[in-house]
Amino acid sequence: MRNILTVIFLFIQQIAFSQGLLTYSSLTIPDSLKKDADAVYRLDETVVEISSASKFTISDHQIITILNKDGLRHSGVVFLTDKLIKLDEAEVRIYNDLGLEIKKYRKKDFSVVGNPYESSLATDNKYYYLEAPMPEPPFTIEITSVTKFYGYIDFPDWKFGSSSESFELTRCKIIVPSELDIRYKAYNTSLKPAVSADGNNKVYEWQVKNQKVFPAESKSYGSVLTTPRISIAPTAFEYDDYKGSFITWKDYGAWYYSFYEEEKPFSAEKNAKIQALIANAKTNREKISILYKKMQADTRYVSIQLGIGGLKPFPASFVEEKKYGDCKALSNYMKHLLKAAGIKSYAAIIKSGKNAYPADPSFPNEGFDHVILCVPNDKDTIWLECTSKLPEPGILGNFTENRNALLITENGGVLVNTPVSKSSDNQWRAKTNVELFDDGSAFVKSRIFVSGEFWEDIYGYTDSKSKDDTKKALVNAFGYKAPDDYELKIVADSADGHVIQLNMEYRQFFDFKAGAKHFFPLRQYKLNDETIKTAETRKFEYLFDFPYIKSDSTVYKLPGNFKKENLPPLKEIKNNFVFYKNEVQINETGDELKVVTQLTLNKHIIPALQYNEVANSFESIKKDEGQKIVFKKD
Amino acid sequence: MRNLLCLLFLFFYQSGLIAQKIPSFGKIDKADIEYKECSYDKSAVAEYLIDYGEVNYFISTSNFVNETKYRIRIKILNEKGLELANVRIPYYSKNNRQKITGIEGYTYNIDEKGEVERTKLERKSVMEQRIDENSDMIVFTLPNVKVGSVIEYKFDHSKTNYIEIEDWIFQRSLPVRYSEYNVTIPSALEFTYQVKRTLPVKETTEGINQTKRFIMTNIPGLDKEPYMSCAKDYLQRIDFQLRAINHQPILSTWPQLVEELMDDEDFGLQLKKNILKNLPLEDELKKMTSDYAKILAVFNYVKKNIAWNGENRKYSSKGLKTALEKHTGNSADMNLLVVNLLRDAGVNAYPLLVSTRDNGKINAFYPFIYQFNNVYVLTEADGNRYILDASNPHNPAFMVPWDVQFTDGYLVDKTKAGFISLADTKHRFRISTSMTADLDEKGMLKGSAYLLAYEYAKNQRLSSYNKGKEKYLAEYFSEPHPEFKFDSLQVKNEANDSLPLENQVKFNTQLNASGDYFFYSPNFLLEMEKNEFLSDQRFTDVEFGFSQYYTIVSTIRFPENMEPEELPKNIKMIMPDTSIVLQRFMQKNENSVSLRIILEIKRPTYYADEYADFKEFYAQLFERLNEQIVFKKKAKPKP
Repeated sequence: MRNILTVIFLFIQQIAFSQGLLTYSSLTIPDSLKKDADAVYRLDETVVEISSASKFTISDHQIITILNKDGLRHSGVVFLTDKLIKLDEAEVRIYNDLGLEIKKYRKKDFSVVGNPYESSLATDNKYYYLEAPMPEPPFTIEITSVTKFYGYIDFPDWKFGSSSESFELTRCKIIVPSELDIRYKAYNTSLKPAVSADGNNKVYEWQVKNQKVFPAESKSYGSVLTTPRISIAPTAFEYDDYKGSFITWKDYGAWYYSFYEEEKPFSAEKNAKIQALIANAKTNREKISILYKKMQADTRYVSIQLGIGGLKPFPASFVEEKKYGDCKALSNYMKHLLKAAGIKSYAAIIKSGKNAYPADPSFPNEGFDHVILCVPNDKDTIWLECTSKLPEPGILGNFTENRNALLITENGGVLVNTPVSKSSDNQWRAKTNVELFDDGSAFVKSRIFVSGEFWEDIYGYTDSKSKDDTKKALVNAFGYKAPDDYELKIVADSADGHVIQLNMEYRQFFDFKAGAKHFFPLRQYKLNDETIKTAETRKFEYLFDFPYIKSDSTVYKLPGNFKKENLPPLKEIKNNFVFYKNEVQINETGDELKVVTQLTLNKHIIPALQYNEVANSFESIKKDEGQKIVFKKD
Repeated sequence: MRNLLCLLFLFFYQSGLIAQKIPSFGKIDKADIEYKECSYDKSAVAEYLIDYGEVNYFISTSNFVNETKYRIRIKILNEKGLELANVRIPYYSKNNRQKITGIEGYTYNIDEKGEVERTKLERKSVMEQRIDENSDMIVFTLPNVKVGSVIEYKFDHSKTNYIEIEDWIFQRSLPVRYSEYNVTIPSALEFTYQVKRTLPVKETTEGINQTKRFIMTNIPGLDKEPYMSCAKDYLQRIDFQLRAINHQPILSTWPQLVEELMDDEDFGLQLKKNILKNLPLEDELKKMTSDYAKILAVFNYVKKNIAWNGENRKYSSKGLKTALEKHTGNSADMNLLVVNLLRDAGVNAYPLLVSTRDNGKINAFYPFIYQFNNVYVLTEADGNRYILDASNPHNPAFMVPWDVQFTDGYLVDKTKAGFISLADTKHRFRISTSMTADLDEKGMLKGSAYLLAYEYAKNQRLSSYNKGKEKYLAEYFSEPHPEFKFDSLQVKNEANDSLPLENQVKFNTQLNASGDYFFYSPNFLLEMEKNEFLSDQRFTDVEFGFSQYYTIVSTIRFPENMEPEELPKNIKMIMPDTSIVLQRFMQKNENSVSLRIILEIKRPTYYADEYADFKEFYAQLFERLNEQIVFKKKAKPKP
């Protein structure tokens, strides 16, 4: 690099140090902005110009200095377009670390790709992306673009902070006709806009300088609670010729309602079939269960996002004929199956994902990506996830629990809470008999009851996998000591859960020996697999994946010449979140040893104040489970 | 081997079936919808019942068309197989060069009355999706598919003015019951072909058009395996190669190929460009007397002055001068520049075409450059040969880059051209660790470790280290040993090629305990935490790409209130062919335990048919490595 430097240095002496050079050079960034940053936004400017309820333009201008290899993710320049989004202009310039321009790309240099091999089989999306070699960091990339939107429901949030990038100057400007106006709300910041008038337009402007990197906490809600941002929402909008108003949740739901209404979804013959299916069912719950299971068995999930921005479902008749659909189509189909059975239900739009943060009730805005079905049933509301073949009716799982969803009703949108995850929905209960032989080998027979998320795990890792792959999963995902041979069978399925028979053979069941002393594990796997560790500070909630109840009872039949040397003492941990108890007992004749362990996580969202208490609990549980049973062989 | 025999047996048993015609499109035997599992691959999520291809040429005065008819029938055995009903057929669509036509499809189920129910794929369900400016993709999903269904579809893929015949791969990641490839070649074209197989294939020539017919049956799926190099090398397949048009041989020879390459503007001609003359490097080189010093100087110059753009190519992108001006280029730009500069400095240097291990082995019978996926440098100094890849930032000049270890490269030169076996057995993956630690009365262990990573081990670690010290600490220390807390990591010699990567680190941990016992595992910081060879079966060779050598020397001082239990025995464990040796020495001193473990894995490759012994040895090896040292609290003397 020295050679380039000298060459360039000579060159620099001949031109005056301009302001531009300073902005583009990585050498002029203050240390406070470089600390913990992968990249520094020298400028991040967004201008949103709304011209009507169906049209707006975003002009973006970013100057980003990429400091290291991790920062290279900012050099991937991609623009998404579809039937209603058009990329008007795009330009990218690359500057070296002294701030000298070394490369320039225009829109014509971009490649345009559809979406092959994505999770969706078909979409209207097209991506403009720049396939350009990037120099070794540090360097600076400048991206300018103009994108036009011909129809909208929402606007992008303006974020100006991150746990891996800092911002030297960031600006957001919204220009909107006064009679249309926007709504906005500030999160994690008290920043206020400068509001002015420009003819018939109202202009909002936010600006922030020198925003440093702030630390992230693992397994928290993440940027929702930490990143300063301004959420911007319309008051009225028009999307693909569907007009709507968006001041309240009620408005938005009213706009949505017609998408999920069909006059005559099924033929008379199909209606008769539905009636026949539920003829013997006594309660609504039974009817719901029968129709839901039928829907799960008959249909499959295929993602096809065509038509009105992927918002309007394919009609029920389509799913009836083809037996596939996406979340909208399958929920709509299920809704109409129920309707044919005289049961009312509502489509519910929701933000999906493990531990996703609920929508803000006080600031109605689009932020959903999934549809489920809500069936009011007296006081006992039943929720249905229509894209998965696994869950029992009424159990949503951590993909959609613990948040709110917008019910699309005849009276407009209603924001309601989805169920709170219950530990009793996720159970792992094992009963094991181990026959130990005096050479240290063992036969292990386990019967395990699993439900909820544990069933999804077991199913995902073991169903239709080769014996070898299942063995790897047992060892790597469930922490089993690798058996020399094994057999796994699912012996019973019921509405509550599933029973697995797992028989294993070990040539050497003890972990190791020292002379005549043999050191055995408490059991052939670890009941606890949490990795939470104590921390000096914790600002935000810690999120386990889900609450659960686990228990294991293992009975060892000992060969006559094994004499107990050491047994772990009784251990019990109890607080509002965790219950753990481990008890090891040996019978009077000394030939039968019993290890009984219970582990319950009552709630999976841990407030910051209790974080260390819970982390401490799991650290002690880990130590306790690592204990050995020591036998001396005569 | 047992599996192969089993398959052979099945093959002969079912060979009567081959003589029969396969069911025609749209017709199905009820038994194929009713069965529940694949007999020769029991855990398969789906089975290809028919995988059929038929190649024909249509020649007119203005052009000719290569048309391949495909037909696929799949039994869905499990929910995870449902994805196969979503069909994506990508093709090159620019200027209508290729077309997909004649798409038809059916789904077969058993209806409520127990009859075969057939659902047709509607024409309007077939959609076209753009991939990029050159290619489109036909997508459709078959209707009414559930577990147990059989799906079937066919399509014609026609290519205008395209001569080559696509290779046929009998084997897929899922089992295939019946795979057939029919090839009818006009008399004007001559092809050679090679069948790569371990399973039997039926090969016939039929009809007036001399149609070649290849059939293979009951082919189990091939999945990814740890340390496998390239699936392609193991798949059952036929490779076709055009040899002559109108009896004019077009299959070239390796020497011809060399000639073409040497005259290519983006290859050979680049080597003649006069570049060194204007560089300050020229004077530096003039002062050097040894060729090896010159090699290092040129190699480092190119690495420093050209940022690799991430592309592995055989040809220069826009010429070497442009690459040097723009300070960016592909691998060919960088490596051809090394050759160019070295030659001008008077050092023997040649372009070396390589096929990296993940690209698969070269078939020397087919002189075609597409078999290679990169170009490196072969250079000589003082009678030694060096293989360089300037786009690889971590590999020193004296080591063969790991990604081409134990492959064949082709040296491009008008006089010296030929295949070169690339094998560096002098340099190893070598780790040497020493640690000392003090155990206190409460079972807290505190100490420091000094770790040297040599050669290929250093190479691997540097790519992690260059992403940041934090990541390196996590990847090589904290994550493999989650019970330990590490701090004060110091790393040295990362930029000095001739010295091993030196790591110094402090650590502490509360030893696992049980009553009065405390446990310490000597398998510490060796990169040997997990045995990856758990599978009972193996289809592909285990290819490490280097031989390995590990040592650890430890001393653990224990307090007065503790006493080690009987120590794990001193052992020497040797693989029957002596290629793996584990030695362990443990010794109890007055207030310390000292130990030494040496593990040597001398062979870089273990063949699939040796896997049973290899796996057994590995299991034992890990059992020994994980044997722990036990300290026991002394009973308190009674007052």
